[in-house]
Amino acid sequence: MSDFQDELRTAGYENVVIIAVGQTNISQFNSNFCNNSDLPLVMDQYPFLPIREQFSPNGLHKQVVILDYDGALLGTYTLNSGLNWSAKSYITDVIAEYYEQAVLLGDINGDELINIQDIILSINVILANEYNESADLNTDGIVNILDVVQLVNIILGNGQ
Amino acid sequence: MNIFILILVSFLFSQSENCVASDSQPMDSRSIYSIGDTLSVQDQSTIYDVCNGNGDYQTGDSFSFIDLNGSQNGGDYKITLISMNATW
Repeated sequence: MSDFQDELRTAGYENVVIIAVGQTNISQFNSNFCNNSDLPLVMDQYPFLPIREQFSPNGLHKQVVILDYDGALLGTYTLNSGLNWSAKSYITDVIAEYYEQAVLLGDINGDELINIQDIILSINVILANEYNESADLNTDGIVNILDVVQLVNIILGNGQ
Repeated sequence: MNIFILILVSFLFSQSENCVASDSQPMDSRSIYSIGDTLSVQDQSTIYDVCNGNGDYQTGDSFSFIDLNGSQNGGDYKITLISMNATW
């Protein structure tokens, strides 16, 4: 675990994953996220480098990209001066803004638990042909049986 | 002809330090994302090689962004920080 991930966990952000993306096996980790790190190094696919290109066409070096739990691009930051206070502040602010939303999706009655009551409420939402953002687990804009299945999986322990 | 051979040799050697790109796609079929956009399921499903792993991922495993998508993996919600580390 890197020093920075340690800091995030100390601040209560357990559900944050840090990955490093490189171009080659011998790419040097920059020293920002990777101090004391055993982060997974994911290799961008050569020659098209899709990870780099989908976020930073023409390639920005030492860029940090922040993705939400559903793949939404929340923010980017270029570490021109390393992982300094300003960079940490930006990243932490973005995480803080979206973290609760990610963790509590599925908690339809807002009691900070996900259980059978949320399933019942979710079915009621479907039967009433209504929409509830917390019940829309797959974030496709509608609440239907797929969301209920996902909720059941969470409760059964197949998810978090 | 010599130039062609030179280019070919350069190309082959340039790949030697990269992981195998099993399903790499040309960029003209891919999306470019800005803040606020959501990666398509197709792009999230693209498989990459893990060349230095620990924790949930070990060296030799495969990785895709959809692994961390709570809506697709059964509710394991993760926010992901991607640190670009290559000198592009």
